[in-house]
Amino acid sequence: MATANFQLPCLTDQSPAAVALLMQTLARDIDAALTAQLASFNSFLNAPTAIAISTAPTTVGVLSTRTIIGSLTTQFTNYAIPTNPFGLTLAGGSLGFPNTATPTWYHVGGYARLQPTGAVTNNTLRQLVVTVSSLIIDPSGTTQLEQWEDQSYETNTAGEFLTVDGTVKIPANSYATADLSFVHTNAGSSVQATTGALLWLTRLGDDNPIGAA
Amino acid sequence: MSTCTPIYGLDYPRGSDPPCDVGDTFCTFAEQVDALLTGLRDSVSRVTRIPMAKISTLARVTSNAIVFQETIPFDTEEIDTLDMVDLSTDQFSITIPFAGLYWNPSFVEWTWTTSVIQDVFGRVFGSFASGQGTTQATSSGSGGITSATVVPISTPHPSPIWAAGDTIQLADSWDSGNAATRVTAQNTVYWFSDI
Repeated sequence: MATANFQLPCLTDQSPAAVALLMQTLARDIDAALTAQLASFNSFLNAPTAIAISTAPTTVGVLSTRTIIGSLTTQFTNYAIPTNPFGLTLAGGSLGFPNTATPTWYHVGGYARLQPTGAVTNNTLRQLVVTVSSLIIDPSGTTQLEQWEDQSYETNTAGEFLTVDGTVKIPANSYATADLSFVHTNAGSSVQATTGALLWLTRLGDDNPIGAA
Repeated sequence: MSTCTPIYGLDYPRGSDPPCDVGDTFCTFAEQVDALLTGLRDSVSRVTRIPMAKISTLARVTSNAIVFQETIPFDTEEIDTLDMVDLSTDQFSITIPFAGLYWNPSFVEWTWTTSVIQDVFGRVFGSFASGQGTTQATSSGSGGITSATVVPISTPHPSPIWAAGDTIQLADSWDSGNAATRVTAQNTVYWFSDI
């Protein structure tokens, strides 16, 4: 005989001699259930979060294609960022998501100031892009999970401050990364993402409905 | 002498209990602990799986006309942890399950190919049954665009307190008289604090 949800042992009238043994089993079951709940709760209180910041400008020439903002260094993280298990080289800077056994949702965002180094061509594009990708075992490369952009059209030399963010589901047992990149169409001079660009991620929750096992 | 624990009221054996009642006392205790653990599990489940919904669409919508605050229909439910979405009956909305503070990251992307687009303008707003009004973010581009490009929208700000039953929708506008196409839209709402 046991309770409905956690299957805790109940003593029946027919087995009074088993009190000590069942009490021990009950205590251990309670201990295990509380430990599991505490682990889940601590996992929520310490949601995996990482913030990276660029320590040097990334500069590209006129009329650029998409360029990853490099020189990223981890400013804060509360988990061990996984190393690339497949031996693939990641271009520029990127942040690795935690490896998890279940699909997990994250909020990811970026910020950068895009500033021409010289002459400005009126009404030219400045675009900031956050891309989330999952590396696959096949060395052909990566699967893009999400990509978000923000942009403006610029006429001044002071630079443009752009932010972009979105939510993404990271598949189970995958090696996923986020990177920050930019595009511009300035013809008068090169454009740089100045030192201090930010890339961040934080876990929101897993992929199951509330109350599900 | 008290007959139960002071906070959770868990019954425990007393010296006056007849020996034949030990089974009932044991079971009562186990069932009370089971109920407490179940409540704890439900609470922990709520915070490890926060109220969250994300809906999206890749349906392309092209217009040559000026579009003003057109509410965007969605066709894909990417996640819904607390019955916040039912696209079969309402293809526009995410419904707030209980009062609190929510984040609302949204994203809309357009493309156009003409070189004479001027002042393309996008807007995202929420529709609130409890009357808090709307929020919006804008992004615009103008002049000299010669190839496909995008105007994304994001509202990465903590929203004001929303009430149970509030519906969050996404709309866009563009005021170009030239053809433009909405290529994708995403709307996410997730809880981050009770009031």
